[in-house]
Amino acid sequence: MQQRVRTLKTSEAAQLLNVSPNTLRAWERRFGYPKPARTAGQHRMYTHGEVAALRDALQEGLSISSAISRAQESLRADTQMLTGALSAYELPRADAAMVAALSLRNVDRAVDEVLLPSLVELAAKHGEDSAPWSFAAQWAEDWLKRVQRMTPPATRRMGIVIGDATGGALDLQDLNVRILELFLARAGARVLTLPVSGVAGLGEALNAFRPDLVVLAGSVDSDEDVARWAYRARISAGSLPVTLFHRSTLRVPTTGAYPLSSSPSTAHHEILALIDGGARTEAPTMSPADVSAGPERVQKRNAS
Amino acid sequence: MSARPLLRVLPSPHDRVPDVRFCGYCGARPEADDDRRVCGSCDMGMVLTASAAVAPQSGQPSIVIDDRLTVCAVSRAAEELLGISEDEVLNRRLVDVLAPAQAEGVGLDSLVSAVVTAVSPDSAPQRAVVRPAGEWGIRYAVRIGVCGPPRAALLVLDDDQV
Ligand SMILES: [Zn+2]
Repeated sequence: MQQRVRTLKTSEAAQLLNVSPNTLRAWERRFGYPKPARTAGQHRMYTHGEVAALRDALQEGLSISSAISRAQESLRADTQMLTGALSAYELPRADAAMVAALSLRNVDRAVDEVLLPSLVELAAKHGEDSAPWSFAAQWAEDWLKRVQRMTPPATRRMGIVIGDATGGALDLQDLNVRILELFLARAGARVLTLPVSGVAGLGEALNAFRPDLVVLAGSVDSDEDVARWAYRARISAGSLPVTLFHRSTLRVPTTGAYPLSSSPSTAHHEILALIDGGARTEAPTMSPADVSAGPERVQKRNAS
Repeated sequence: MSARPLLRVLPSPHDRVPDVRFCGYCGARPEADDDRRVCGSCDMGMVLTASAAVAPQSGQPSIVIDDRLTVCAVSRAAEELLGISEDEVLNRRLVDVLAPAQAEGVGLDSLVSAVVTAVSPDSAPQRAVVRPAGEWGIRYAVRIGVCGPPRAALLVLDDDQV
């Protein structure tokens, strides 16, 4: 599996397209394409495939709009290829679709723009209790694990603990949580996922892990289980920002929690911003009073 | 990038008009030694080639359509004149933007025929009268010729209302 995406600096992308760097920035503003990632130093970094698709489209284009529309169409073809491969139970072709996707995008965007839309489409078409879904979801989970294994070790001090309340079924919610884990790990964070159904040994685990933020993810496990887990987590780790991923605000067993976007890509940016921006003061946290009062009081407060 | 002309317009021998290059968006004419396909003046248009008899003069609104009569490019002047943006009419049918002016005796068939004739080899520019789609009482004379690459039809609205 090809994981290194060939990227281009603004000057290199401009040269490939025979335009000026200013033109590229003007297109990004007007059309949102090509859409560069940013380096740590805030420099634009274009994927070679995206620029190459535009170069080809410009050869046949009568306007910039039509060329960009054609280039985007060719990128969307990867999603169709993956959906088709998974619908036909063809593992090698599904892998090939992701290799093609990765030649045009980095891993985060390949997951966000190709893998996830394909899975959403299959879930909508066949239902999450169907054989095609089950096949596709197992392939996706396996693919995500393979990428996860190639992710370099954490480079940032930040630690995120995910209380997994997805119930363990291989559904779309579960995949969203797996994708969130991957995005956070790829951003250099330390990530620890623990099922909310188990609290034995939780204190020792968190003492060792020292998280900066808690994500309560998934809506399957009961409020009681989540409340108990969050309460025990707070006792061990202290007052931490709590965020919710794919879990309704109303059912939260804390005094307040930051609801994350349901898109793993957006959610992971929100988490990083919360931590980098001093989440300890800005995001809702559980007060010491709540911790000492235990989950029952917290639940009562939420109900009122 | 090749300096070879990618499109050749062949008017009748007794009426030889040179080809010119112009930006399909802002209308700017690039320097002869500038062979870039993207306009260096506005960044927002492709440089196209057409007969000087058809190519837009300074500020003239123009629209480019393909052989299926769908909109491929709209100049900035046309966007302003017709109150549309290129993005929103891209890939729409020409008649959703410009309709034949039937009061001037121009039917849909004759507009289509003018476009088809204009882009056939060796033909001279055609003329028609059109109105903005959905509007009556406003009419524009339009000259139609071939442009490219790739080969397409160029419609230039004359400034003077008919
Ligand atoms: Zn221009």
